[in-house]
Amino acid sequence: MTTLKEKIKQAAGYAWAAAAFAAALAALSSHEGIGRGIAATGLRISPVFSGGELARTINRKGYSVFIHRPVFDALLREKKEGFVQVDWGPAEALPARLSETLDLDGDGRAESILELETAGPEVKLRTEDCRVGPAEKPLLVEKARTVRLYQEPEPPSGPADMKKITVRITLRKSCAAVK
Amino acid sequence: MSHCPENKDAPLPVKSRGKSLLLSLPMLAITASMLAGRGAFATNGSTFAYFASLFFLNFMFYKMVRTGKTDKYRAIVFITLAGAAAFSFMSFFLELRGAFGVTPSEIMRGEVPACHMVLPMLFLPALFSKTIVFPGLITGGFASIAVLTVFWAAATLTIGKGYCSWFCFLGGFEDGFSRIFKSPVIKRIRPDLRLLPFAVLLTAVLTSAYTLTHTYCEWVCPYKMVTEFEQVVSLKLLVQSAIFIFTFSLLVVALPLLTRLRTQCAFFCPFGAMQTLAGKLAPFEIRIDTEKCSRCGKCLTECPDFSLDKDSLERGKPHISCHLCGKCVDLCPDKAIFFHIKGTSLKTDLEAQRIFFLYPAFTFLAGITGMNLQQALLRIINFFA
Repeated sequence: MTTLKEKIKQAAGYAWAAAAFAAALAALSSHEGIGRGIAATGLRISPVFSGGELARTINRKGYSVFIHRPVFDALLREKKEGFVQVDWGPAEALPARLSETLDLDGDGRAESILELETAGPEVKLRTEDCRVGPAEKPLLVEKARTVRLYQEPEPPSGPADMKKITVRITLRKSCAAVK
Repeated sequence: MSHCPENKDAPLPVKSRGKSLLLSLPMLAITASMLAGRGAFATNGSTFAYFASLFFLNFMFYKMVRTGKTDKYRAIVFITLAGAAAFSFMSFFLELRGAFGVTPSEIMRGEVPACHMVLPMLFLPALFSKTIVFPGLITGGFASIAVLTVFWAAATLTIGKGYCSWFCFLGGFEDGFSRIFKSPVIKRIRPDLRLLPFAVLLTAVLTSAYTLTHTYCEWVCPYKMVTEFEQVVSLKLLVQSAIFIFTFSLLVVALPLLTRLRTQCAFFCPFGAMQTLAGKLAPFEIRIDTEKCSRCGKCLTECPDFSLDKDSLERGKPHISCHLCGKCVDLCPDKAIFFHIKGTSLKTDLEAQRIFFLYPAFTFLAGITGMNLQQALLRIINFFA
């Protein structure tokens, strides 16, 4: 003999299963809207990949230099060692040889000179600041190829479709962190 | 433990054609609308791919309903979709970038298509630093992180750990390999290996939070072999590539062949471990009627997830690693194992409860991953056209 409690449990079980399926169908049919809601929470791709927000732009003849903020990001505090990303673009307008005097840490004083051949893989970094260096090999970041379903905010590093040359330079919080 | 009698199989709950068709109609409506995405009818080829996929998937669902066999037809669809997904992904990437490997440029631009396997590694950094530690699109584009999160949440809420046998098509490779031999070569497996995925999950979550990168995907994930991987442009990437080729060969091919188990899923997958925990919210589970069970042990040798042992037969429940694939339900000669809605009676409406489970489970299997079959067919048609 089924008791009232068992009947209620039975009904609740079926209701739970049906409600979960209905909620799942609703979520699946409106996933793009929910996705936009998630994006609106302010989540962003980790600067470890994106290079960090754009800090300064230097305009040169026909091209620009984009200096990003130093990335020391960690889960809770900041790391002792990070990097600064520098982009040159558009790549098509760059001279064969680049030589740039840069203020990487943003303290208002240029401390590094970066030289590179735009066609070659080598980069030369000259600096007297023990917190700076070395520089990674330059990377040609090509135009965006992803098919975007709807308009997204512009990436922080400049025009979305710009082909550019990117270099990441190691930066430390202090010279004491150098081992 | 008594021996399983040869002809003891109870009659399967075969339904009439009319009733089976009637019960299959809601699934036809769901899959028809879900597969009719952008461009489904743009060309004759895409229209053919749409209807061929729809027919195949719904015929399998109809057979599940009519014959009472769940895993038999699930496995056909699951394995087919795994192959179709690998084919359509890899050909898509080849078309997109002219090479299989993800380029450093795509990583820097944050354009890498995301995979659900990365989700466990995203939560802590998202919570504490409001950043996503994967170089993909948060919204829009192909396989964005937000859309994968919505799919995961919806599937977790409805089918829980069933995600691993009904939605994660990557498991289809192991499922296929584990069915090739009739009996296992390696028979003795340590039961405490069931806990290994939790250790992998903890390691992946903590290292990802510490480094703010997706460590498991970068260093270990075997499924890069059949989806995407980074182009080898450094020694570090060469080592990472060697590791994923090794883990795929061992965990997805060799060990499933030798053990007849889905070894990556059962003993290694951090996503599966997360599903074990998150899946507690879901209304469905597998239960065993301890009175009906004759302890023949057939389910113990056939369970691909290593979820059943003598202890689970006594408790009336499989271990937490159960993926709800339904193989034991199909095979049990006593009909003592069944899909169950939590809270409901263990004695009545068991076939109704199976059908109740099949709707959401097959929606995820066919409605979402079924798109891979559509894409694969379209690419084959376009290739020959």
